[in-house]
Amino acid sequence: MTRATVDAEAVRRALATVRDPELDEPLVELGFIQEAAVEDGRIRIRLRLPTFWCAPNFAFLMASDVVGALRPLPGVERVEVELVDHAFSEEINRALAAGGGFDAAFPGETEGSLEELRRLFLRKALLRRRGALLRALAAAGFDEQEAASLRLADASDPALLHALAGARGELARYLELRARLGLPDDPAQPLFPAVEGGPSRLRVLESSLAFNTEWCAALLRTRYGVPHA
Amino acid sequence: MYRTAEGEEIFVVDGHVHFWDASPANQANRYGKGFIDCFYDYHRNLSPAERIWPREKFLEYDAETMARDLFAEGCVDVAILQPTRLRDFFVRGFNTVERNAVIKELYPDRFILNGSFDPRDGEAGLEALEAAKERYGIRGVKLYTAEWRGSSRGYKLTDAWAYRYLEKCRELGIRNIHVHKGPTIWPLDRDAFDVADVDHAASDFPELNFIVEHVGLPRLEDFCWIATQEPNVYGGLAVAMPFVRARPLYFARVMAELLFWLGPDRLLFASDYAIWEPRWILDAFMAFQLPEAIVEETGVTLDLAVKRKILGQNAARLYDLDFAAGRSALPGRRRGADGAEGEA
Repeated sequence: MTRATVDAEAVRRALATVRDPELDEPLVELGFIQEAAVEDGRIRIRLRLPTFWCAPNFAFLMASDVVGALRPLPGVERVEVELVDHAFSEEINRALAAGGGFDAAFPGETEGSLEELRRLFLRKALLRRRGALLRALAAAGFDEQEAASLRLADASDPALLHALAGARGELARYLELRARLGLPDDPAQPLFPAVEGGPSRLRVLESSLAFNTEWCAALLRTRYGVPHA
Repeated sequence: MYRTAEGEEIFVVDGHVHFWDASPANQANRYGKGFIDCFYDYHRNLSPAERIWPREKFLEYDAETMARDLFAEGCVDVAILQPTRLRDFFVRGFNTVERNAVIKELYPDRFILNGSFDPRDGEAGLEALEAAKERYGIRGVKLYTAEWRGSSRGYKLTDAWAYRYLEKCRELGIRNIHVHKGPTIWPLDRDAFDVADVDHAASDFPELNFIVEHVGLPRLEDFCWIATQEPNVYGGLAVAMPFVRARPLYFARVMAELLFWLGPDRLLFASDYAIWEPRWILDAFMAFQLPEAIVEETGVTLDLAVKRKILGQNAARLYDLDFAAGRSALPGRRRGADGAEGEA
């Protein structure tokens, strides 16, 4: 019997899709993947975070998302993720090894699953992208009314894509997040629905996430002695 | 008083300082070590290279060092001691009221001593709070809602017992409630940094001031949103402040948001000493200007008058300090026990 060998490039690509649930940036780019080793059908990942105290719920989501992204790849028999240097390394690693959920890592300390928390932050990620896209549109000469009248179908309109040339990545992620959250996909839906608090609310969310992302990246560099990019 | 290059004198209240003991002998377990290691990374990351302390000094420093860094070098007029007990992590606690009282005793006119409470202490804690008011005359408390206690991982301000403590604060005239959120709190599957409980408490206790430490970071957006709706919610600038030098653009964005949502009257300067020293932060902040594009986008102003408010006047209002009469109105400047501090 021959076993399919695991394609290292496929592992790299799959790993690149896993994001920090709070910052909505790829773990690889944030420097959180300390090591990825492929050995026959077994993949070992070492996950490191900016501080000893990073919130355990987010840490668990990252670790289990890594497993979820790599496990379906052809030839993969086992994915072992080890969270290192963390206050809850032991609890989280034990639960991961046993294939258990967050409640298995912290029996009696949770009320449900992490899905509600995940949705809350996917929603923030979505709004942050919306803010960035609206700013890009304003810079391209769209007034507020024009931006508000855009429909989902317009997302593939060449004129719009041209206006958002500098924000293509944001747009792609925005549409991905819409789908991930199960928002209505009828082409007549507004592309950028209004939010309570208006553009200022989107702006403060962007400022906050930008600050947090920078602080996390900086602390990781300090903690692990990685030179500044 | 901080003196600007133009000779302006500015009254400075450092709203968040610590006199901690994180020495190996006091670390109870790996959590204690993890706690101070995390602080040291904060310190190393944002301090100017020449102001980075050796690890050993960072673990435990003496009263003279602290007084010099704050008052002589730091140009701080008054500093507020914010206790953090952490008795599950440190044998004698990390930065307790009792330990802070020692340095307060040495420099009585330069420190404000804040107390603390933990709603999980029940009736006994209510009595202890009353005793602390009696003994130290405290006018504020610092709460760390993510503090561990045996199998408990923190509490919320909206817990029934927390309300009894807030009621007691109102009764005793302890008006300033400093709230610090942390990464672990029951239930662990929720957002640990959620500030919604502050929103409820601030509505239910309009006579109390709620100073959210670290301006709600990492949830600046939620903090700003509740603070616009609750006039008795303030932002403590510890952790945000040192970004002014190392990462000024991020600082600019945060500061612009705070001025936009809260205005200039509800923000309090803080160094978070000994994580960072106040002097270099003050120098950088006084030299700092918001980038034109941000001013245009948000419409806010950060001029000398606003800086004066943030650096001292706002805190002076909360703690009844007389800033208008200037430095001579600060008795005891020369009374430091070791003479470390002078009028110069």
